[in-house]
Amino acid sequence: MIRLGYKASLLRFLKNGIPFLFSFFLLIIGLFPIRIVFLTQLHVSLVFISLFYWVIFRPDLQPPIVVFILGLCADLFYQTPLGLYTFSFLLFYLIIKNQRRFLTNRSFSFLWGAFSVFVIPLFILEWLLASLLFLHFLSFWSMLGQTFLMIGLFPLIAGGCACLYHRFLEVDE
Amino acid sequence: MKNKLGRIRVFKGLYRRYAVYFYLFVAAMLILLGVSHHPVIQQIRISIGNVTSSVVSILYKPFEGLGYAVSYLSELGNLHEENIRLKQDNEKLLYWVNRSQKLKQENERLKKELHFVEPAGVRRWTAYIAADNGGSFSRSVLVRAGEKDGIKKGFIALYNEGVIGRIVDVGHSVSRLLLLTDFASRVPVFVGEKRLLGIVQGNNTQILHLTSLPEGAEVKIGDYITTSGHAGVFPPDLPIGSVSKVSEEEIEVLPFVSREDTSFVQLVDYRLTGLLETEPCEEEKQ
Repeated sequence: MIRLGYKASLLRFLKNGIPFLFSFFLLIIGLFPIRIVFLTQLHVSLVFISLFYWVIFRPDLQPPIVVFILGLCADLFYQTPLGLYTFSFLLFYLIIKNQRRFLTNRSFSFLWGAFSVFVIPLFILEWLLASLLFLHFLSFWSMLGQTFLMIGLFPLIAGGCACLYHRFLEVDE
Repeated sequence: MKNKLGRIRVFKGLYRRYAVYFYLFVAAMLILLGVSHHPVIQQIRISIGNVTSSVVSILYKPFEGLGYAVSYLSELGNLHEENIRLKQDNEKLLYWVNRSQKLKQENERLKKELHFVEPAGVRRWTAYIAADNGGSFSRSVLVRAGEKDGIKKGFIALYNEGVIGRIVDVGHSVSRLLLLTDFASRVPVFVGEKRLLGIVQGNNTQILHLTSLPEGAEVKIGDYITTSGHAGVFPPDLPIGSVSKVSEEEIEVLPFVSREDTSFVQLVDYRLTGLLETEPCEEEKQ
Protein backbone atom coordinates (compact mmCIF):
# COMPACT_ATOMS: atom_id res chain seq x y z
CA MET A 1 0.00 0.00 0.00
CA ILE A 2 1.45 3.35 -1.07
CA ARG A 3 1.34 6.03 1.62
CA LEU A 4 0.72 9.52 0.34
CA GLY A 5 2.54 12.49 1.83
CA TYR A 6 0.76 15.22 3.74
CA LYS A 7 0.64 17.59 0.76
CA ALA A 8 -0.43 14.92 -1.70
CA SER A 9 -3.22 13.78 0.67
CA LEU A 10 -4.46 17.33 1.06
CA LEU A 11 -4.36 17.86 -2.69
CA ARG A 12 -6.28 14.65 -3.27
CA PHE A 13 -8.82 15.63 -0.61
CA LEU A 14 -9.35 19.01 -2.28
CA LYS A 15 -9.62 17.46 -5.73
CA ASN A 16 -12.19 14.96 -4.50
CA GLY A 17 -14.09 17.81 -2.88
CA ILE A 18 -14.48 19.69 -6.17
CA PRO A 19 -18.01 18.41 -6.97
CA PHE A 20 -19.25 19.40 -3.51
CA LEU A 21 -17.45 22.75 -3.55
CA PHE A 22 -18.79 23.57 -7.01
CA SER A 23 -22.39 22.78 -5.97
CA PHE A 24 -21.88 24.76 -2.76
CA PHE A 25 -20.54 27.70 -4.77
CA LEU A 26 -23.71 27.59 -6.91
CA LEU A 27 -25.76 27.70 -3.70
CA ILE A 28 -23.89 30.86 -2.67
CA ILE A 29 -24.32 32.38 -6.16
CA GLY A 30 -28.07 31.97 -5.69
CA LEU A 31 -27.80 34.33 -2.71
CA PHE A 32 -26.24 37.13 -4.78
CA PRO A 33 -28.45 40.23 -4.63
CA ILE A 34 -28.64 40.46 -8.44
CA ARG A 35 -30.92 43.17 -9.79
CA ILE A 36 -31.92 41.49 -13.05
CA VAL A 37 -35.54 40.38 -12.84
CA PHE A 38 -35.36 36.97 -14.50
CA LEU A 39 -32.09 35.99 -12.80
CA THR A 40 -33.37 36.68 -9.30
CA GLN A 41 -35.69 33.70 -9.74
CA LEU A 42 -32.90 31.15 -10.07
CA HIS A 43 -31.77 30.63 -6.47
CA VAL A 44 -31.17 26.98 -5.68
CA SER A 45 -32.14 25.54 -9.05
CA LEU A 46 -28.62 25.69 -10.56
CA VAL A 47 -27.47 23.09 -8.04
CA PHE A 48 -29.67 20.49 -9.76
CA ILE A 49 -27.49 20.82 -12.90
CA SER A 50 -24.32 20.29 -10.89
CA LEU A 51 -25.84 17.29 -9.07
CA PHE A 52 -26.94 15.79 -12.39
CA TYR A 53 -23.48 16.12 -13.89
CA TRP A 54 -21.49 14.75 -10.99
CA VAL A 55 -23.83 11.83 -10.30
CA ILE A 56 -23.31 10.72 -13.92
CA PHE A 57 -19.57 11.37 -14.21
CA ARG A 58 -18.24 10.93 -10.67
CA PRO A 59 -20.88 9.26 -8.47
CA ASP A 60 -18.12 8.13 -6.10
CA LEU A 61 -17.49 11.79 -5.19
CA GLN A 62 -21.17 12.57 -4.75
CA PRO A 63 -22.38 10.10 -2.06
CA PRO A 64 -25.84 10.53 -0.47
CA ILE A 65 -24.38 12.23 2.61
CA VAL A 66 -22.91 15.00 0.41
CA VAL A 67 -26.27 15.46 -1.32
CA PHE A 68 -27.96 15.54 2.09
CA ILE A 69 -25.55 18.22 3.37
CA LEU A 70 -26.08 20.31 0.23
CA GLY A 71 -29.85 20.04 0.63
CA LEU A 72 -29.67 20.98 4.29
CA CYS A 73 -27.49 24.00 3.46
CA ALA A 74 -30.01 25.05 0.80
CA ASP A 75 -32.85 24.71 3.31
CA LEU A 76 -31.03 26.82 5.89
CA PHE A 77 -29.65 29.46 3.52
CA TYR A 78 -33.01 30.08 1.85
CA GLN A 79 -36.44 30.72 3.29
CA THR A 80 -37.98 27.45 2.12
CA PRO A 81 -39.91 24.95 4.19
CA LEU A 82 -37.24 23.03 6.11
CA GLY A 83 -36.31 19.73 4.46
CA LEU A 84 -37.89 20.51 1.10
CA TYR A 85 -34.64 20.94 -0.84
CA THR A 86 -32.98 18.11 1.11
CA PHE A 87 -35.80 15.84 0.01
CA SER A 88 -35.79 17.13 -3.60
CA PHE A 89 -32.01 16.81 -3.97
CA LEU A 90 -32.02 13.25 -2.61
CA LEU A 91 -34.96 12.24 -4.79
CA PHE A 92 -33.24 13.70 -7.84
CA TYR A 93 -30.02 11.91 -6.87
CA LEU A 94 -31.87 8.60 -6.52
CA ILE A 95 -33.54 8.95 -9.92
CA ILE A 96 -30.34 9.91 -11.75
CA LYS A 97 -28.30 7.22 -9.99
CA ASN A 98 -30.81 4.56 -11.05
CA GLN A 99 -30.81 5.78 -14.65
CA ARG A 100 -27.05 6.35 -14.80
CA ARG A 101 -26.32 3.41 -17.12
CA PHE A 102 -28.54 5.01 -19.78
CA LEU A 103 -26.82 8.36 -19.37
CA THR A 104 -23.11 7.50 -19.49
CA ASN A 105 -21.16 7.84 -22.76
CA ARG A 106 -23.86 9.99 -24.31
CA SER A 107 -23.63 13.22 -26.26
CA PHE A 108 -24.00 16.58 -24.56
CA SER A 109 -27.33 17.33 -26.28
CA PHE A 110 -28.69 13.96 -25.12
CA LEU A 111 -27.75 14.82 -21.53
CA TRP A 112 -29.38 18.22 -21.89
CA GLY A 113 -32.61 16.59 -23.11
CA ALA A 114 -32.45 13.95 -20.38
CA PHE A 115 -31.97 16.64 -17.73
CA SER A 116 -35.09 18.43 -18.99
CA VAL A 117 -37.09 15.20 -18.89
CA PHE A 118 -36.05 14.47 -15.30
CA VAL A 119 -36.26 17.95 -13.90
CA ILE A 120 -39.73 19.04 -15.07
CA PRO A 121 -41.70 16.33 -13.18
CA LEU A 122 -39.42 16.84 -10.18
CA PHE A 123 -40.23 20.55 -10.10
CA ILE A 124 -43.94 19.85 -10.44
CA LEU A 125 -43.61 17.49 -7.47
CA GLU A 126 -41.66 20.14 -5.55
CA TRP A 127 -44.36 22.71 -6.36
CA LEU A 128 -47.10 20.32 -5.15
CA LEU A 129 -45.21 19.56 -1.96
CA ALA A 130 -44.58 23.25 -1.26
CA SER A 131 -48.23 24.08 -1.98
CA LEU A 132 -49.24 21.34 0.45
CA LEU A 133 -46.92 22.74 3.13
CA PHE A 134 -48.24 26.28 2.60
CA LEU A 135 -51.85 24.96 2.35
CA HIS A 136 -52.25 27.11 -0.77
CA PHE A 137 -51.37 26.67 -4.45
CA LEU A 138 -48.26 28.71 -5.19
CA SER A 139 -47.76 30.39 -8.55
CA PHE A 140 -47.26 27.49 -10.97
CA TRP A 141 -46.19 29.63 -13.93
CA SER A 142 -43.47 31.35 -11.95
CA MET A 143 -42.15 27.93 -10.96
CA LEU A 144 -42.36 26.62 -14.53
CA GLY A 145 -40.60 29.73 -15.85
CA GLN A 146 -37.81 29.14 -13.36
CA THR A 147 -37.53 25.50 -14.51
CA PHE A 148 -37.21 26.51 -18.18
CA LEU A 149 -34.65 29.16 -17.28
CA MET A 150 -32.66 26.49 -15.47
CA ILE A 151 -32.87 24.18 -18.49
CA GLY A 152 -31.67 27.07 -20.65
CA LEU A 153 -28.65 27.57 -18.39
CA PHE A 154 -27.75 23.87 -18.44
CA PRO A 155 -24.94 24.24 -21.04
CA LEU A 156 -23.27 26.98 -19.01
CA ILE A 157 -23.26 25.15 -15.67
CA ALA A 158 -22.67 21.68 -17.12
CA GLY A 159 -19.87 23.23 -19.22
CA GLY A 160 -18.29 24.52 -16.00
CA CYS A 161 -18.59 21.05 -14.46
CA ALA A 162 -17.08 19.49 -17.61
CA CYS A 163 -14.09 21.86 -17.46
CA LEU A 164 -13.43 20.91 -13.83
CA TYR A 165 -13.90 17.23 -14.61
CA HIS A 166 -11.45 17.19 -17.53
CA ARG A 167 -8.92 19.39 -15.75
CA PHE A 168 -8.85 17.71 -12.32
CA LEU A 169 -10.94 14.59 -12.02
CA GLU A 170 -10.84 12.59 -15.24
CA VAL A 171 -7.37 11.09 -14.66
CA ASP A 172 -8.38 9.71 -11.26
CA GLU A 173 -11.01 7.41 -12.69
CA MET B 1 -11.78 -9.85 15.84
CA LYS B 2 -12.74 -11.50 12.54
CA ASN B 3 -16.39 -11.42 13.61
CA LYS B 4 -16.15 -7.72 14.40
CA LEU B 5 -14.58 -6.95 11.03
CA GLY B 6 -17.25 -9.02 9.32
CA ARG B 7 -19.99 -7.11 11.10
CA ILE B 8 -18.44 -3.78 10.11
CA ARG B 9 -18.25 -4.97 6.50
CA VAL B 10 -21.92 -6.02 6.58
CA PHE B 11 -22.87 -2.70 8.11
CA LYS B 12 -20.88 -0.81 5.46
CA GLY B 13 -22.56 -2.82 2.71
CA LEU B 14 -26.02 -2.10 4.13
CA TYR B 15 -25.14 1.58 4.49
CA ARG B 16 -23.95 1.79 0.87
CA ARG B 17 -27.15 0.15 -0.32
CA TYR B 18 -29.69 1.96 1.80
CA ALA B 19 -27.98 5.26 2.71
CA VAL B 20 -30.02 7.29 0.25
CA TYR B 21 -33.29 5.91 1.65
CA PHE B 22 -32.10 6.63 5.17
CA TYR B 23 -31.34 10.26 4.27
CA LEU B 24 -34.66 10.55 2.44
CA PHE B 25 -36.34 9.45 5.65
CA VAL B 26 -34.36 12.05 7.63
CA ALA B 27 -35.37 14.71 5.06
CA ALA B 28 -39.03 13.75 5.46
CA MET B 29 -38.61 14.10 9.24
CA LEU B 30 -37.06 17.52 8.67
CA ILE B 31 -40.13 18.54 6.66
CA LEU B 32 -42.35 17.50 9.58
CA LEU B 33 -40.11 19.46 11.95
CA GLY B 34 -40.32 22.47 9.63
CA VAL B 35 -44.12 22.36 9.65
CA SER B 36 -44.02 23.08 13.39
CA HIS B 37 -42.48 26.52 12.58
CA HIS B 38 -40.32 26.31 15.67
CA PRO B 39 -38.64 29.69 16.36
CA VAL B 40 -35.29 27.91 16.84
CA ILE B 41 -35.22 27.08 13.10
CA GLN B 42 -35.59 30.77 12.26
CA GLN B 43 -32.90 31.63 14.79
CA ILE B 44 -30.52 29.14 13.16
CA ARG B 45 -31.34 30.59 9.74
CA ILE B 46 -30.66 34.17 10.77
CA SER B 47 -27.41 33.14 12.52
CA ILE B 48 -26.30 31.39 9.34
CA GLY B 49 -27.41 34.52 7.46
CA ASN B 50 -24.87 36.55 9.48
CA VAL B 51 -22.09 34.39 8.01
CA THR B 52 -23.43 33.84 4.48
CA SER B 53 -24.16 37.53 3.92
CA SER B 54 -20.49 38.33 4.69
CA VAL B 55 -19.33 35.62 2.30
CA VAL B 56 -21.77 36.83 -0.37
CA SER B 57 -20.66 40.45 -0.04
CA ILE B 58 -17.04 39.39 -0.70
CA LEU B 59 -17.81 37.01 -3.56
CA TYR B 60 -20.38 39.29 -5.18
CA LYS B 61 -17.92 42.19 -5.68
CA PRO B 62 -16.47 40.97 -9.00
CA PHE B 63 -19.97 40.11 -10.31
CA GLU B 64 -21.50 43.44 -9.27
CA GLY B 65 -20.06 45.27 -12.28
CA LEU B 66 -21.19 42.47 -14.56
CA GLY B 67 -24.75 42.76 -13.19
CA TYR B 68 -24.78 46.50 -13.85
CA ALA B 69 -23.41 45.97 -17.36
CA VAL B 70 -26.14 43.43 -18.19
CA SER B 71 -28.93 45.65 -16.87
CA TYR B 72 -27.40 48.64 -18.73
CA LEU B 73 -27.33 46.69 -21.99
CA SER B 74 -30.89 45.39 -21.53
CA GLU B 75 -32.06 48.99 -20.91
CA LEU B 76 -30.34 50.20 -24.10
CA GLY B 77 -32.87 48.36 -26.25
CA ASN B 78 -35.82 50.23 -24.71
CA LEU B 79 -34.17 53.64 -24.79
CA HIS B 80 -36.61 55.24 -27.24
CA GLU B 81 -39.78 53.99 -25.49
CA GLU B 82 -38.28 54.88 -22.13
CA ASN B 83 -37.62 58.43 -23.34
CA ILE B 84 -41.23 58.90 -24.51
CA ARG B 85 -42.52 57.51 -21.21
CA LEU B 86 -40.24 59.77 -19.17
CA LYS B 87 -41.37 62.87 -21.11
CA GLN B 88 -45.00 61.98 -20.38
CA ASP B 89 -44.17 61.32 -16.72
CA ASN B 90 -42.33 64.62 -16.53
CA GLU B 91 -45.39 66.54 -17.75
CA LYS B 92 -47.55 64.80 -15.14
CA LEU B 93 -44.97 65.43 -12.42
CA LEU B 94 -44.73 69.15 -13.22
CA TYR B 95 -48.49 69.39 -12.73
CA TRP B 96 -48.24 67.49 -9.42
CA VAL B 97 -45.33 69.62 -8.18
CA ASN B 98 -47.45 72.76 -8.50
CA ARG B 99 -50.44 71.05 -7.00
CA SER B 100 -48.50 69.60 -4.05
CA GLN B 101 -46.99 73.02 -3.29
CA LYS B 102 -50.49 74.49 -2.99
CA LEU B 103 -51.68 71.50 -0.91
CA LYS B 104 -48.64 71.77 1.37
CA GLN B 105 -49.34 75.44 2.06
CA GLU B 106 -53.01 74.67 2.67
CA ASN B 107 -52.09 71.77 4.95
CA GLU B 108 -49.73 73.93 7.03
CA ARG B 109 -52.37 76.65 7.35
CA LEU B 110 -55.03 74.16 8.49
CA LYS B 111 -52.66 72.54 10.99
CA LYS B 112 -51.94 75.93 12.46
CA GLU B 113 -55.64 76.78 12.74
CA LEU B 114 -56.42 73.42 14.38
CA HIS B 115 -53.35 73.57 16.72
CA PHE B 116 -52.36 70.16 15.37
CA VAL B 117 -49.79 68.22 17.46
CA GLU B 118 -47.24 66.40 15.24
CA PRO B 119 -46.70 62.69 16.04
CA ALA B 120 -43.36 61.65 17.53
CA GLY B 121 -40.60 61.65 14.94
CA VAL B 122 -39.67 58.43 13.21
CA ARG B 123 -36.14 57.05 13.16
CA ARG B 124 -34.51 55.92 9.93
CA TRP B 125 -31.60 53.65 9.02
CA THR B 126 -30.20 53.00 5.57
CA ALA B 127 -29.02 49.47 4.93
CA TYR B 128 -27.85 47.66 1.83
CA ILE B 129 -29.25 44.37 0.63
CA ALA B 130 -26.63 41.78 1.52
CA ALA B 131 -28.17 38.60 0.14
CA ASP B 132 -31.26 37.42 -1.63
CA ASN B 133 -32.33 34.47 0.49
CA GLY B 134 -35.79 34.14 -0.99
CA GLY B 135 -36.39 31.27 -3.34
CA SER B 136 -39.18 29.72 -5.30
CA PHE B 137 -41.29 29.58 -2.20
CA SER B 138 -40.60 32.91 -0.56
CA ARG B 139 -39.56 36.47 -1.31
CA SER B 140 -37.18 37.86 1.26
CA VAL B 141 -33.75 39.44 1.46
CA LEU B 142 -31.10 39.87 4.13
CA VAL B 143 -30.18 43.48 4.89
CA ARG B 144 -26.85 44.45 6.41
CA ALA B 145 -28.16 45.91 9.67
CA GLY B 146 -29.09 44.05 12.81
CA GLU B 147 -29.40 44.13 16.56
CA LYS B 148 -26.06 45.87 16.97
CA ASP B 149 -27.38 48.76 14.84
CA GLY B 150 -30.63 49.03 16.79
CA ILE B 151 -32.85 47.29 14.24
CA LYS B 152 -35.95 45.62 15.63
CA LYS B 153 -38.67 43.30 14.36
CA GLY B 154 -41.48 45.24 12.69
CA PHE B 155 -39.45 48.07 11.15
CA ILE B 156 -40.83 49.10 7.76
CA ALA B 157 -38.56 49.05 4.71
CA LEU B 158 -39.03 51.87 2.21
CA TYR B 159 -37.41 52.91 -1.02
CA ASN B 160 -38.26 56.31 -2.48
CA GLU B 161 -40.97 56.46 0.20
CA GLY B 162 -42.70 53.41 -1.32
CA VAL B 163 -43.13 50.30 0.85
CA ILE B 164 -40.93 47.35 -0.06
CA GLY B 165 -41.56 45.14 3.00
CA ARG B 166 -40.96 44.79 6.72
CA ILE B 167 -38.37 43.28 9.05
CA VAL B 168 -39.44 39.90 10.39
CA ASP B 169 -36.23 38.47 11.87
CA VAL B 170 -33.29 40.25 13.41
CA GLY B 171 -29.81 38.77 13.79
CA HIS B 172 -26.64 40.27 15.22
CA SER B 173 -25.53 42.06 12.06
CA VAL B 174 -28.22 41.16 9.51
CA SER B 175 -32.01 41.21 9.43
CA ARG B 176 -34.50 39.43 7.24
CA LEU B 177 -36.76 41.66 5.22
CA LEU B 178 -40.00 40.03 4.11
CA LEU B 179 -40.98 41.59 0.79
CA LEU B 180 -44.54 42.65 -0.02
CA THR B 181 -44.50 40.08 -2.83
CA ASP B 182 -43.98 37.17 -0.44
CA PHE B 183 -46.82 34.71 -0.17
CA ALA B 184 -47.03 35.29 3.60
CA SER B 185 -47.34 39.08 3.25
CA ARG B 186 -50.78 40.60 3.89
CA VAL B 187 -51.24 44.36 4.14
CA PRO B 188 -54.52 46.17 4.92
CA VAL B 189 -54.86 48.96 2.35
CA PHE B 190 -57.00 51.82 1.11
CA VAL B 191 -57.93 51.68 -2.58
CA GLY B 192 -58.44 54.73 -4.78
CA GLU B 193 -59.97 58.07 -3.90
CA LYS B 194 -62.94 56.43 -2.15
CA ARG B 195 -60.46 54.79 0.22
CA LEU B 196 -62.10 51.37 0.00
CA LEU B 197 -60.68 48.94 2.51
CA GLY B 198 -58.96 45.84 1.14
CA ILE B 199 -56.01 43.55 1.65
CA VAL B 200 -53.00 43.34 -0.62
CA GLN B 201 -51.27 39.99 -0.61
CA GLY B 202 -48.18 38.59 -2.25
CA ASN B 203 -48.02 35.51 -4.43
CA ASN B 204 -44.25 34.99 -4.79
CA THR B 205 -44.36 36.81 -8.15
CA GLN B 206 -43.71 40.44 -9.14
CA ILE B 207 -47.43 41.24 -8.87
CA LEU B 208 -49.61 41.68 -5.77
CA HIS B 209 -53.25 40.66 -5.46
CA LEU B 210 -56.00 42.81 -4.02
CA THR B 211 -58.58 40.87 -2.00
CA SER B 212 -61.22 41.23 0.73
CA LEU B 213 -62.85 44.30 -0.85
CA PRO B 214 -66.34 45.29 0.29
CA GLU B 215 -69.27 43.87 -1.72
CA GLY B 216 -69.90 45.79 -4.96
CA ALA B 217 -66.71 47.84 -4.69
CA GLU B 218 -65.69 49.48 -7.95
CA VAL B 219 -61.99 49.35 -8.66
CA LYS B 220 -60.40 50.65 -11.84
CA ILE B 221 -56.96 50.41 -13.41
CA GLY B 222 -54.63 53.07 -12.06
CA ASP B 223 -56.29 53.29 -8.62
CA TYR B 224 -53.71 54.27 -6.04
CA ILE B 225 -53.10 51.81 -3.17
CA THR B 226 -51.84 52.98 0.21
CA THR B 227 -51.52 51.31 3.59
CA SER B 228 -54.59 51.74 5.79
CA GLY B 229 -52.85 51.40 9.13
CA HIS B 230 -55.25 48.72 10.36
CA ALA B 231 -53.73 45.98 12.53
CA GLY B 232 -50.94 48.37 13.50
CA VAL B 233 -48.18 46.71 11.49
CA PHE B 234 -47.88 49.46 8.86
CA PRO B 235 -48.65 53.14 9.50
CA PRO B 236 -51.41 54.64 7.33
CA ASP B 237 -50.92 56.26 3.91
CA LEU B 238 -47.66 54.73 2.81
CA PRO B 239 -47.67 54.15 -0.98
CA ILE B 240 -47.87 50.50 -2.03
CA GLY B 241 -48.68 50.49 -5.75
CA SER B 242 -51.43 50.96 -8.29
CA VAL B 243 -54.08 48.67 -9.75
CA SER B 244 -52.73 47.17 -12.99
CA LYS B 245 -55.41 44.65 -13.96
CA VAL B 246 -59.06 44.18 -13.07
CA SER B 247 -60.84 40.97 -14.06
CA GLU B 248 -63.73 38.88 -12.77
CA GLU B 249 -61.37 36.51 -10.94
CA GLU B 250 -58.75 38.84 -9.53
CA ILE B 251 -57.42 42.35 -9.17
CA GLU B 252 -53.70 42.80 -9.70
CA VAL B 253 -51.55 45.51 -8.17
CA LEU B 254 -48.20 46.62 -9.51
CA PRO B 255 -46.01 47.67 -6.57
CA PHE B 256 -44.28 51.06 -6.82
CA VAL B 257 -41.06 49.47 -5.64
CA SER B 258 -39.80 46.06 -6.61
CA ARG B 259 -36.85 44.14 -5.22
CA GLU B 260 -34.81 44.72 -8.40
CA ASP B 261 -35.13 48.53 -8.20
CA THR B 262 -32.57 48.99 -5.49
CA SER B 263 -29.52 47.76 -3.61
CA PHE B 264 -30.40 49.87 -0.56
CA VAL B 265 -33.47 50.22 1.60
CA GLN B 266 -34.46 52.62 4.29
CA LEU B 267 -35.59 50.96 7.53
CA VAL B 268 -38.04 53.09 9.45
CA ASP B 269 -39.12 52.74 13.04
CA TYR B 270 -42.72 53.96 13.25
CA ARG B 271 -42.91 52.64 16.83
CA LEU B 272 -45.61 50.16 15.83
CA THR B 273 -45.82 46.64 17.15
CA GLY B 274 -49.22 45.53 15.91
CA LEU B 275 -49.65 41.83 15.23
CA LEU B 276 -45.94 41.24 15.73
CA GLU B 277 -46.29 41.75 19.46
CA THR B 278 -46.39 38.22 20.84
CA GLU B 279 -45.29 38.84 24.42
CA PRO B 280 -48.27 39.62 26.65
CA CYS B 281 -48.04 42.94 28.44
CA GLU B 282 -47.49 43.10 32.21
CA GLU B 283 -51.18 43.71 33.02
CA GLU B 284 -52.25 40.70 30.93
CA LYS B 285 -49.62 38.54 32.65
CA GLN B 286 -51.01 39.45 36.06
